[in-house]
Amino acid sequence: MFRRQHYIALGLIALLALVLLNLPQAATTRLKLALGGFFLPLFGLSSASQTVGQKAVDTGVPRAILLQQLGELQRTNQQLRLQTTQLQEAARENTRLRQQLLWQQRAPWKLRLARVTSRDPANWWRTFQIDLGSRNGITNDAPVIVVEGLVGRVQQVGYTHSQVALVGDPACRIAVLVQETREQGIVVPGAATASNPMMADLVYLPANSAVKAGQNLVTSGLGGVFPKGIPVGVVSEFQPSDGDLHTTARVRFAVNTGRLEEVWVITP
Amino acid sequence: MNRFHLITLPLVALLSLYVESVVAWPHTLIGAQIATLPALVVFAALRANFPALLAVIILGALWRDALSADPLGLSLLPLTAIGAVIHINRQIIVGDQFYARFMVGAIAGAVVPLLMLLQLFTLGREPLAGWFFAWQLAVMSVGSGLLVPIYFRLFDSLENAFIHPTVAPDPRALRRNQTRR
Repeated sequence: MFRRQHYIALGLIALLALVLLNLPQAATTRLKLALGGFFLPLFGLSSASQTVGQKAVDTGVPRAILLQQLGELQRTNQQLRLQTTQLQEAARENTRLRQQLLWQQRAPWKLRLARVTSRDPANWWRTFQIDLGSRNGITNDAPVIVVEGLVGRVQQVGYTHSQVALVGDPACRIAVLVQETREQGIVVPGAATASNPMMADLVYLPANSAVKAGQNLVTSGLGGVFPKGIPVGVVSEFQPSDGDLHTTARVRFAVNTGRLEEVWVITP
Repeated sequence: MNRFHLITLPLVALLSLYVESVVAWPHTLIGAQIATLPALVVFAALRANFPALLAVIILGALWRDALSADPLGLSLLPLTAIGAVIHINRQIIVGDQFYARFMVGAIAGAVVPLLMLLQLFTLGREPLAGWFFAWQLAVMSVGSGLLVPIYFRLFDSLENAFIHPTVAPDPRALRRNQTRR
């Protein structure tokens, strides 16, 4: 049977919930990171076991396959070096022209590799945690990318871990540019995002937009969070508006965030 | 037994939440992640005493919210509500039957996320909850229903391994001792 103390305890829990839900953002973040610290030994254990497993797999790979991979990598390396030489020349030309026009120089990206440690247990957010924090120079809103394109932005920074809001999360709205038509819009979660995390909506396109399915989207640099030119996805569907001020297109993201194990964080 | 549940329940909650946050294939495969905490609270409400139930609710809810983008404390009230209701009525729930355990777990697995969403909307947040959420809710409900009997099995094994049963004294030996005196 329920006694008086039980009801008092339930009342205290309700009070605790109310206090926690009304705490300032900074205090909540600090508390969350402290509580998340309980999982650090488990994340460390998982990381160590993965490394051991990978080493065990590596030792078992036959020499012939390794030599074949080495040959492929050498060829790719040569191609990339040639491309870099070409791009370095273009970059020098770009710097010279910018100096002549008195434009601000583009700062090169400083990248840090991070491992994905855990994913959001809630079905209604698209976030994950990475194993880099403020001690590694990670700051709030730092863009997170992979080779294929944009992954998201850092939402909360702890000392050793950070939370990343992924593309398609309500906390990650992206100002984009259609590469082919130079039209600008904002990528936001759409009706299809909940069922398919790869899909989102491109809103605030001009009413007479010339956007077509298959055209590429890159970050526009507006808003100051994401640098210009990071691939975001492709337009998968577009219906011209009938009389509205703006139109909306459906977008397919370039990166499948559900399968990521490692990401790059752009640090200041 | 009291202390046993007070220690093991939060530990199992920590491990369950860790597994939930690391194992991504349910979300990739069926579009929904199964919540482990409502099922554990159902188990605690049916089997453990009130302090152990409170311990798993408070610690589990705070740890879960720490791993999520949800505001801290969001899952406290829904888990407390479901835990208290089951604990009060545990005499009338046939807690040793698989079907009863599954049904209570399934109800908890559906009610807890619904209450959490309700709180999120009340707080002015915009979670990704469209029509597809009905499917996610069904998956969470069935998953939670199936997890409750698994937790019962797990704790039965743990109790067998760590708690020594108290053996009643032999009545003949007692009588012999009394006659000697």
